[in-house]
Amino acid sequence: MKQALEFKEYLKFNRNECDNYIATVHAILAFAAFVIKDNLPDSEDSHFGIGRKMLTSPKNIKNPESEIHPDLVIQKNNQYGIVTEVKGTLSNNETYWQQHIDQLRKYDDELKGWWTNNKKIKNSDVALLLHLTKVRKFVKYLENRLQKNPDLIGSNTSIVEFVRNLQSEVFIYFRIEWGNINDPNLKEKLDTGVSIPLYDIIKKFSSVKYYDTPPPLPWLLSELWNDVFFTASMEVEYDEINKYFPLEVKVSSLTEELQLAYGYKSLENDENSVEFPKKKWIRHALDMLVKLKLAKFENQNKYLIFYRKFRQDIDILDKFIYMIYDISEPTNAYTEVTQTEMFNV
Amino acid sequence: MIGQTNSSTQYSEYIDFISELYSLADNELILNQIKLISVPKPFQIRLKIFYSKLPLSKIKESLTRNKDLDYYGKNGASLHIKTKIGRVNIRTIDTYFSIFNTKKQNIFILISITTSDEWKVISRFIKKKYPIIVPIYLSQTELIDGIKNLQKTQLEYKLRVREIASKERITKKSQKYRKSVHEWTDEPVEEVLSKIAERNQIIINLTLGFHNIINDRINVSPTAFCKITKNSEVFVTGNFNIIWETIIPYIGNVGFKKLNLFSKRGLRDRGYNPGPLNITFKSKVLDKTEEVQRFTDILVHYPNSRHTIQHGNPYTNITIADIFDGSSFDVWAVTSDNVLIVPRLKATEAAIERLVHYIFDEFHEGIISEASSRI
Repeated sequence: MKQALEFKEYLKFNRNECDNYIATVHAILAFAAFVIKDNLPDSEDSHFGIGRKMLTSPKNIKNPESEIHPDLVIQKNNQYGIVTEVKGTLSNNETYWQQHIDQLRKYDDELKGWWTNNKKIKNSDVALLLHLTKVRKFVKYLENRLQKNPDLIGSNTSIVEFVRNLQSEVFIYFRIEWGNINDPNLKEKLDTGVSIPLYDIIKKFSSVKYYDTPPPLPWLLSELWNDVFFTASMEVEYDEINKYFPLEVKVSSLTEELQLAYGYKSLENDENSVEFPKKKWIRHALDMLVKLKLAKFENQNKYLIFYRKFRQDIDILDKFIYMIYDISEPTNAYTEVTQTEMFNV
Repeated sequence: MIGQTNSSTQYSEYIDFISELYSLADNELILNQIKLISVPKPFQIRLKIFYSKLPLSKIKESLTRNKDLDYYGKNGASLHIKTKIGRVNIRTIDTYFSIFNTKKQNIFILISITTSDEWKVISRFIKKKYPIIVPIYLSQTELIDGIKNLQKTQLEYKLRVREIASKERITKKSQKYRKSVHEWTDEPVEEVLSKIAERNQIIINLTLGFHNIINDRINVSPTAFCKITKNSEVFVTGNFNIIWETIIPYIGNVGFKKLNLFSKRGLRDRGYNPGPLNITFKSKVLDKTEEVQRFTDILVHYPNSRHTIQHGNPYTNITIADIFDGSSFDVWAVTSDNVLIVPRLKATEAAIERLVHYIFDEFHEGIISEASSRI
């Protein structure tokens, strides 16, 4: 019953989803900045890529010679790098956790795709960045599983906790919780815990808003509504009869601009980089606008947006959360908003 | 020095004189005359310094799209407003003004010889032209620094503060509100400025008297009075030249520097290379959660905008979209003494100026600068 799904609870859930997404983007950027900063001033060989395309070796015990896309690949220098998976949230259902362990096992390999001449690197580690609230439980689960199968995870794999921490300013705090990091400098710092000021991350990567995972749908809609559509509405004449600004939107050019402004093209990128935000995320968002009667589907690449400036006192994100809630089937209400689940990423 | 129109005949004659002055063939001739003439009460030389990306001809063209406003004079050097005001007591306002280029690119000066009512009408027309015409907001620091500097450089004059309008922050328990203060003084600038700082007052406008000094003797009768507002309006009574040579270039320069800092900040204008700005506060004004909440509330109530609160407490991340021109920003308060303004796809200098000074006025004043990376 929809009544059972109190809107307040629904709003809170969705707000948390959005916040987790932003927090994960910041954790990715902060961890990359931490590793790269450790190599300063010789930062020429330092690189990082979000969702970077890497190739497993023929010896990989999970998926030999296959393409993988870790959340974050950081090359500290030509000799050392870390492959990282970041989980801002983790299902309470432990049966889903095995897939994360499998993923780590797959990444603990002589991967190809580094920023070196032969695309290989001498030493590398794998780190799972887990939110502080989940890390102990996960470690306990992992240790139990390792007793039965010691080869469940590679020897260069570690688990690092992270949390957004507020003191006199906001920090992202990292500390190694399990396993080992082979770079002595990084290990020393991560053993005691390291705090990266969020202020520095925003200044350095001020426009990066996405990573290689689809954002929550209401958040993506509010981003489009308050920025690219808002700006576009200034260029067209208001339709007095229908009470909207008609905006013709091409999925390809909209995606391209978001990638340049807030996505993978706003960071260092090459042939191994992976695109984000992806065209299908944008199309999905536009399809939702059609459902909300705020757009019309013209063809696979073209939509007509009926842009309305919502009232000043309305929070645009709350507005989209409410609108989606309003049209959702009671049982689908949660999944409708969580693109992560929808795309099964 | 300061006369008064004593009858309606004199008043009408003076208006005719002004209309003749503004009918002169070019701005230079008009300005030369303004520098020479005596202006009787209730008229004053009233100026507004502003910023525009458009050239002067386009600014005038844009203004004259209004049916009540037209070119005036032999070469259309000036502008003429004829409009009606008032709902019950309907009156006709018939007035003139000129807009001048300055040595600083994109900085313009509007000069009129008007009564208070006439000036209000001109101001209304100008305000409607935002964001084509962007007011230069003077921060408290800019205003005070300018006056201090003026006193230091103008050795032949003693500056005295004659009138001051300000807002005073008052905290009672958890409530905060502001008291409007209007004071008439005759005190040296230094004393007034130190009182303002002590009482945490925010200046709205301030009237200075320029008193001649000869061998340490001060003339009790000022050569000129000059009222300066936060919106870069300057009202002059008496010797116009002193003001024209001192205060006007200072405001122009402040506006030029500031608006240049704010220009080309939008991602589209910078090849998608971000250009964040940083407001640094003198003290840790965001160290308490209630102050962070207050800051968030202030941004939510930013006039003529749309918003999304990405995060409200214990730190602020809010997206603000400016309804005037489609600019949008992410505003971050993640430290106790800084606010980051991160422009999004479009961010005009007009919109940044409006947002920054809203934060200065409603929350706390700080120093705005380029946000340089520490990583």
